[in-house]
Amino acid sequence: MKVSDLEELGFKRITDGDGELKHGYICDLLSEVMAKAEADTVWLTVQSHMNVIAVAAITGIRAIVLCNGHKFDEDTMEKAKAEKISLFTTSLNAFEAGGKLYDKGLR
Amino acid sequence: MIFKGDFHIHTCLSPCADITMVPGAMASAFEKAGTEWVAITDHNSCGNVEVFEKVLGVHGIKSIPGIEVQTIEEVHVLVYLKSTKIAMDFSNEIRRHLPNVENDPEHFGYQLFVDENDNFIGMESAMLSASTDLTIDDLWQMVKRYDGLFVYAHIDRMFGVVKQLGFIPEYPPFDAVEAKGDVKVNCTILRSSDAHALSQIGKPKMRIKARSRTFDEFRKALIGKDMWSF
Repeated sequence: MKVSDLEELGFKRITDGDGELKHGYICDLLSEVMAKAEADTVWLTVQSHMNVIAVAAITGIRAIVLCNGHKFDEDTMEKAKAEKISLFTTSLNAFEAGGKLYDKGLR
Repeated sequence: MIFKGDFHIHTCLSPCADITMVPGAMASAFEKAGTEWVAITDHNSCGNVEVFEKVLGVHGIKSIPGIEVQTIEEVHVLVYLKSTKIAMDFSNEIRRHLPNVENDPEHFGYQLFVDENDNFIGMESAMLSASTDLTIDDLWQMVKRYDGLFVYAHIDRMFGVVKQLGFIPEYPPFDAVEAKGDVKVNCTILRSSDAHALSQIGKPKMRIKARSRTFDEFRKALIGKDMWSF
């Protein structure tokens, strides 16, 4: 699926960007994500501080969905634009959001 | 005597701190703010502690060697140590608990060593913004092995123990907490600037009753609740 398909699933788009998604990853510990997430991933988390963008840029994560109704910091959105990481928010929890992505074929 | 203190300060060694956080500039900022007693607490390293102690000392500002360690739970803990020598030993041991990944300064920030004249003299290659592989318990054991003080940093903020775990665990014990808002704990609550830029160095919030500005007096005041926020 494409990053833009996340909008059709009901996730609210915060910053631009597109590309092919192959994997999903759910985790809130940045060190775990950095060590284990693959490229072309959409990452579901409740962490919103700036370091999430650095972790995404280094691992090749294309999109981040911030769950549970949390909001991104201003700094994080700016950094995401610079790094071309697509940010989304949702009121769903990570399990519910992940289920939607699993149904769409992400693994 | 009553001293004015700020015990959570970053320098240009911290990846997220401004590169203008060099000893000369910070000494001036502390003098202007009326800060007499500080602790240098960079992320996962004591590499700039000694040079700051020297330069701040010239300006009459005493500093306690410190470090802000990130545990595997991504909880930040402030550790205060007796001397720069002990701090460096502690720092070297922490370095062995960091992931074997080189810091990418463009993404995570520059980690600069500095000399007494505010010149950058090197760059830390280890990724100081990462978590160590130490649990909170492991870190507590290690701190006590070095006879240091274990203080949960900004417990009610990002990377704070309450924010990360939802509560303060019953074990291990801890010597104090640092907080921004109202928290109910039966120990000293440190209020600090956690300054990452010169503009964040403001009037010091802590008042400490002590005979002199030594580590032992700091420990006594911290444990004995002879310090309070103002």
